[in-house]
Amino acid sequence: MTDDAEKTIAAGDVYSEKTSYVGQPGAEPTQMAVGIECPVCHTSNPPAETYCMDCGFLLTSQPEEQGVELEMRPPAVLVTTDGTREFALHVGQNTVGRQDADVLLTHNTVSRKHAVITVEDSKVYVEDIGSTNGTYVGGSKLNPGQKVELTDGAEIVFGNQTLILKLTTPSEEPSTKEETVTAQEAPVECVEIAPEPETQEAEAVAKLISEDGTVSHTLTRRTYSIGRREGNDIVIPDPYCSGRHAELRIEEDRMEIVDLNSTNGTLVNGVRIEPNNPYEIRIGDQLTFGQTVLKLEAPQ
Amino acid sequence: MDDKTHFIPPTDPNKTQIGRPDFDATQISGWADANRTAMAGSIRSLAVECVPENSYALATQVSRLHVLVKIIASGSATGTRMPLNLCLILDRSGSMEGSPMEYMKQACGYVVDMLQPNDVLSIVAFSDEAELIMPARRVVNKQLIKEHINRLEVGNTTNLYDGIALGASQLASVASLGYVTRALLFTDGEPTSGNKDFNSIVSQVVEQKSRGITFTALGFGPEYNEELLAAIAKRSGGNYYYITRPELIPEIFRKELESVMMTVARNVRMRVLMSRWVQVRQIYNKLPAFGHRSAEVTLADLERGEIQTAIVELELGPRPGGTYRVAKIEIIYDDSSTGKTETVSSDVVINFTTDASRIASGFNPEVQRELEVARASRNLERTVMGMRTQMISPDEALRELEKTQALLIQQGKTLQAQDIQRAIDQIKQGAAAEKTLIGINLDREKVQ
Ligand SMILES: [Zn+2]
Repeated sequence: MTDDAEKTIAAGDVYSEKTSYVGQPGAEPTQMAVGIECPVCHTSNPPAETYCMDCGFLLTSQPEEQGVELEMRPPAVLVTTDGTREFALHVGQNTVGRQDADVLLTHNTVSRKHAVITVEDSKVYVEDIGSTNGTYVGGSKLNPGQKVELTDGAEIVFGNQTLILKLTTPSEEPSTKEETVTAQEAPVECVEIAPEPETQEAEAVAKLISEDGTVSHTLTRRTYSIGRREGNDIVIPDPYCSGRHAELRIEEDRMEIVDLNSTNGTLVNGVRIEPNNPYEIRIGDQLTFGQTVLKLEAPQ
Repeated sequence: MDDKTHFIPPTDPNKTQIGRPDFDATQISGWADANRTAMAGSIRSLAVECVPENSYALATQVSRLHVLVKIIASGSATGTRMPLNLCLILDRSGSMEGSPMEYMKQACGYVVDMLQPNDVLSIVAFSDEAELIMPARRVVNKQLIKEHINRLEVGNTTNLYDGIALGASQLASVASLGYVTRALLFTDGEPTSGNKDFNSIVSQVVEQKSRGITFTALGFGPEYNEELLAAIAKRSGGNYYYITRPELIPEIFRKELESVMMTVARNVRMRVLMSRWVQVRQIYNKLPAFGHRSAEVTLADLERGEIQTAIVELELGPRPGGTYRVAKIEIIYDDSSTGKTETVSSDVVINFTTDASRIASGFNPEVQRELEVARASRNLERTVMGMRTQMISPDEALRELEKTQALLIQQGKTLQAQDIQRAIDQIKQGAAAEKTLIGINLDREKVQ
């Protein structure tokens, strides 16, 4: 609490984690808490919540005092085509099957022991181990005993269950510093929220919204990071979206998007743009990150 | 008045709302209903309780955890029962000739006698095609209804698909609110006319289920397709019966109607809402539908005093040590006491620690036992499949069944152990036991 007074809010920086809550030194002591920031994942929770709505952390407690690798990223993951499930692969042999498998697919077209996926030397291989309905990679059926190397984005079908391989690319490899969350002082004693800066500097110049309206961001003149991982200015909860996917730069007279060498790329109006190269965009453009389509619109 | 109270933030004019509502919306869509609570004071029929296999998990690495979910229907009668919207869907194919037809008519007469004037009954019979014997109406003139039933005559083939469709349309013609809706489907044979495809018939039932119609499947004699009837009952949340002899038909009809009259929860769904760094690996003996941080399965209707169990296996990712709600389990159902769709929920709370010795001492024996039963249930399913496809010999089947039976006795599941004994006797006499075995439910426990 002692450093509350030192916290400042940068105008227009409403998305920043650290500056969301600011102490009001002259505030009435009777003021109630209006929100609790989770000390683990930094999600803002309504005061009535006992557990963080995102990570489930017990908000009246403190996390243990030592740093833990938060996202010990597996070398590769398999995701379902609808993106609702993710299977982390570990180095070595990963069994695929309907029962007691590492990649557990409880569907009756999948055999109990269906296939083995081997991860070694940052390469991934799949082998069918005598399944009834077979294993297909890129549309061709594997012969029993045939070991096939899988590339990033490969489509693998076990029975009638389709999974997509996502390799953890070196460019996505986070620096340890960024990913290590050390337990820190939990801001339980919640304080008054700073007024939303409605100053001229923060004038909205565009809006980024999803087709179904679930994602909607008002954009002001600044640079936004976009990605799946928490901590981005614009978080896209889509497994096809990379942790750090792209950067959106809103400048005085120009808007541009930079793909940060993401796994599945960034598309502008359906066309994939070159990575690490700023690409100019305009109101009305459609931006695709993974499977998420966002539209750039006028602010009102 | 609204039956749900939503959380409303305090509206102090001096306070400013959190300045990033969009950010929240993209993150927590899976928990949108988290604040919803039912109005205090309403007596709901179901309660849910979650028991994790271990209250500790390792903070430093990926771990797996089983959670036992117990859905408990209150045992006390709450005044008058809900009126029924019942449809009898009856097989009058050629094979019903003689005593089966006579006993079936007698059974239907019993049903009529047990109903009250505020219950609604419809009757459908099927042979080459489906016909409406009596459209949905209140059970006022019982004599007249019995006359309709007594005019039934045997026909030729078995058009099960059209029978189900016509019966469902009768049930759907009655506004479902305030009724327990149920179809009793009685058949003695494989579908031989109309749409005979297994998957089409089952998906029709699943579609009717989404309109709130539950099917009880009553299979009679040695010829019917037990896999089909068991699937119809299971996928719609109803019961399955195997009737071995014609003289047992009236008794089984009466038993089932009593069970339907005690129904307190219909259209029961279990939804597992996962926190971050949590995946559902499987829900034992169920096929979940996965959504964004959610997994959902259908459960059977519950009658008074019944306990249903489900076992969910979670995969938990590493995180800073501390106490977390890893999942929230919701049971959503139509409550016969309150007459509304209700949601009851329970949190799965786990302590993440770096001290492995706590985990070793933290296992819950009850969950371990139930897990054994769930595995037995899976083995039983495999045994039945092996018997049907003749992949395993009768001797092997006997060994498997005896093993399962011993386990059930040990776990106090005596009723199910008795059913397995019946199947063992049938196999020893050289008879088929699949019709008995496929009806054994190890995840439902009824009082009495
Ligand atoms: Zn959190």
